Formats: sequence, structure tokens, C-alpha cells
Amino acid sequence: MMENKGIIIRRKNLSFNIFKIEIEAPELAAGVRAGQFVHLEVPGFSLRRPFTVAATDQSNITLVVRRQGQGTVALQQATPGTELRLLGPLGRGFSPPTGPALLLGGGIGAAALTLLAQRLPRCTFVMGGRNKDELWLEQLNLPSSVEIQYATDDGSRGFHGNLVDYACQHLQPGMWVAACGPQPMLRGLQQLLQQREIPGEFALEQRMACGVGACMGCACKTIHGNALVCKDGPVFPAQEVVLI
Amino acid sequence: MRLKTDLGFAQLKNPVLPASGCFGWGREYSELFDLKELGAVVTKAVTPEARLGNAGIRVAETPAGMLNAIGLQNGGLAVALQEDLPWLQQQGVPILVNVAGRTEGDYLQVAEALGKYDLLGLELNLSCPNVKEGGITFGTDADGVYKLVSRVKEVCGLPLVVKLSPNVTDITQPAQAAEAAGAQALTLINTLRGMAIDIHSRRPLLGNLTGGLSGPAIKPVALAFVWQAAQVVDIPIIGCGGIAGVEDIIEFLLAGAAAVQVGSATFADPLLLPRLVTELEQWLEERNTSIQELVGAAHRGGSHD
Repeated sequence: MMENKGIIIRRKNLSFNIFKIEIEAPELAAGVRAGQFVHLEVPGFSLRRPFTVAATDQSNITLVVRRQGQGTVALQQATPGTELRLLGPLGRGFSPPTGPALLLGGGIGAAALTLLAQRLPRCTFVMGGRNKDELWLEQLNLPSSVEIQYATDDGSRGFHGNLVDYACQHLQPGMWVAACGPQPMLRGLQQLLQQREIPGEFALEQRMACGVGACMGCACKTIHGNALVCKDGPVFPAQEVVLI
Repeated sequence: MRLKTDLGFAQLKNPVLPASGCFGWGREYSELFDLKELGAVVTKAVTPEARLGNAGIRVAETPAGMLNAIGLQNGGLAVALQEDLPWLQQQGVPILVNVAGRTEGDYLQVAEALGKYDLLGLELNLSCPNVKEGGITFGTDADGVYKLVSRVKEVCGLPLVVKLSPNVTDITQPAQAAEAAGAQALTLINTLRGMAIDIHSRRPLLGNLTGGLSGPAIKPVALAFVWQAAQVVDIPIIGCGGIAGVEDIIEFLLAGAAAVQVGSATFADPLLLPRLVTELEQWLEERNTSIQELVGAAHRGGSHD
């Protein structure tokens, strides 16, 4: 963990409310593990924002952001060249075994899995959304080792159904699953993985204040008791998190 | 030497402290800077039993601040004594352990156990707004403060700093009661009760419904409390509430604080605390003054330059 200075290089809209932002931060780009996050300063706001690092190249990191409140609006409006401070890399990332991997990202949750996809030798990455307009995965220039698929609730693109339905049909023995998305999706998936005895990891999202484990603001429940999403997670073994 | 401050029961090499609850036991921040740079470390609250804290959302941003409703999550006294305190004692920085509880017995149990350790003192948290019982119910009523502080003094020989709540009509009452009961210092203030509502779900945002407001938004309120208390007590005051820059610190010193605590500003800038120490020293040097000269100066008619 260290405090880094980053410079906004470019920004691109991926959908009506999702944008990606590339930030020059060489040490972060070199040091971050898949699933880890940065705590990003947004000038003028009291709290930082936690974002999983979605992609890296030699000197830049990419964040994928959903425009949700005033802070993310300000971030979307920040011009290239703006200097921002980022604390990171933070938290515990993914620990994928070798073998076939299935990545399931519901909505903005997909952003927590893209660096993992970039770094796995091979994987299938399914992004879920309500309709085709919410999908943006192919715009991230993922390597050809990633087989991108989509699932939509209305069937307007890819598999017709949600990601739990998709997993129900496509899970194979020997697979490993990484997932991030809304709680109902993770709950359904947790049950399915347990029934089929398939291992996996979930990345959780939570509001944070300190981002490092000091303030206890981002607690979640696990079978071992309270845990902190920022320090003990954001990635947890799929069967250990207690989803409400 | 300019940075040195006198708390009566101890001299601190500088007046910059983290606020309880915003700094854990310092472990995480020790990866970013040397804790020895601080005047002292104020720990997360310790209760006799481990506490899981509140369910649901615990933090929310507000204009110029934030709300929190953690609910005193901590590992309990045993973990504090076995894991946290031994670690912090090796960092070479004076330690104020924050103590909280639901009942008088809770405070006594924790204070008595901690009394056996070499600490700067205890900070009695009589002001947590986020738990249903205890804490604030002791701190808002002068008789309650007097009784509790007196009882703690009977079982624990360490200096006692009493952290009071701003959720009162008249701070001078609990402040004087704490002094009369033998408190060696006061911390003013804890957070102000506040809330936020999620307009989409039409429900209170925080799991606890209400939370404690902190950040620059509350600085003027905190300053007024320090000012008022400084007029009626002789024990030193540790100012706390919305400090985010060196000039905020100066204001608190002038209002009568002998030291300050920095809380939620650390979340925006994790390196803020050590930087404030450096900037404070520069500020004093440039003006050829010292902490000692500034403490309470606004009560003495200020500067005539």
C-alpha cells in the first residue's frame, strides 16, 4: 500500500452511465494484483472512492466507473492532465487455480473481473445486464485469450436470462468461478456453486471511508464473523461470505 | 521545541493526534508513515466484549463531511490487551486508549485492566451517538459524567481524558462535572447526530438510521464548544472536529485547546497527520511563536500587532 500520484490520460464513455478512465500511475500498474482496488481522490469531496483496477499496461491503470452521484460526475468531468492521488493497491485480490475459469460480472460488477480476465491464460467472461445497451465489455480491448459472452434479461443480446441462469446451464465440473455483481445474483450463484461443489471467489462492493481497515466502515459478514471488505476482501471465497 | 505542548499530566512533543475511531490502532497507517511523528495515538474504542457494530451501511458522504454509524465495532478487551496494545507499545509513541461501554461496569472493567499498563492515559468515550445504550447517555448529563469519572478514578490510576458529546444544550455542565470528578483533560467534541435518506429507496441511508456527523462542516461548532468549555475549566482541552489544515489547528489552539485530534480528514488524505506536524512547525517558525503561546490566546484579547 502506498500513496500514489496519478495523471488522467484519457476518458471514454462505455455506455450511457459507464465510463472508463485511464490514469498514468506506473508503480500501481506494476504492483496491482487482479481484484485489488485503489482509493481515488476526487478533488472537492470529503471521501475517496474505491475502484477496482480494471486493466493495466506498462504505465497506466484503467478504472471503469458508473456515474452514480456527484463524485463520479465530477470524475467524469475531470480533464486529461488532472493530477489525482490514489492510495493502493489495496485489499486482497483473486487467487485463481490453474484450469478453466468462468468469470461472471453483473453490470458494473464486471469491472472487478476485467484485470483477472486480462491476466488469466484463458477464460470465459460473461457480462450480464438488463439489455444490450448496458453491455460494454468488448470496448475494453481484452486479449484474445478472453472469450467474451453476454447475458441479458430481455434477450436482446447473447444468452437470454440472468447470470445465475447462465451458470446453471454452463457450469462444468473442474471449473473455477469468479463473480461480482448485485447481492441477489451472488446469493443465487453461491447456492448453485455449493450444490455443484464448484469453487469460486466473489468480489464484494461496499461504501468505504478509510479504505485500509482502520475505520470499520465497510464491514460485511462471513462464516467466521465480521470482516472488512477493504482489508479482508474485497475478494472472498464464495462459500465464506454471508449474503443478505 | 515550538511544537511541544503541555497537557498538565504529560508533555507531548507535538499537539497533533489522530481522533479515535478514524485510525484503528495505527497498524494500517504505520505502513504509510512512522507513528512516532505524532504527538500521541488515540486508539479505537475498547469495550469489554467484542462488538460487531451496526448492520447495513455505516458511512456516507455529506457536504464538507461525512456521517458514520459504525457502532463501536472492536475486538473487545482481551484482543486489545493481547494483540493491539502490545503492537502499539512497540511503536514508541504515547498511547491514549479510548474506552467505551454500555454500563458503568463496562467502563470500570476496561479501565481497571488498562490501568496496569504504561499508557499516556485513557480517553473515556462518553459520547458515541451510534449505540443504543451507554456512551452518550453518560456524557450528556452532568451528574452522570461526575459519577462515572469518579468511579473510574477509583479503579484506575491513569490520567483520564473525557470525550464529551456536542449533543447537549450546555457543554459547560458536563465539562465542569468531569473536571470536578478529577478528569485530567477533556476532548471536545465527538460527532453531531445527523442522518441521510436514500431518495431512491425512500429509506434512511444508514443501517443505524442516524449517525455522527464529522468533517469540516462541524468545525465552527467544535470551536464554539472548545471556546465555551475553556472559559469554565482549568484542565487542558483536546480540540476535535473538522480539522483538515494547519490553520484549523491554530484556530483550535487560540480557542483554548492544548492539542488537537484529526479524524475524517485522514480518509481524504492518509498522509495528512504527519504533514500537519511539519506544516505546523513551519507556521510557528515563520511567526516566531509556539504552541504554548497560542493556547487560549483568543481569550486573552488576541494579538495587538
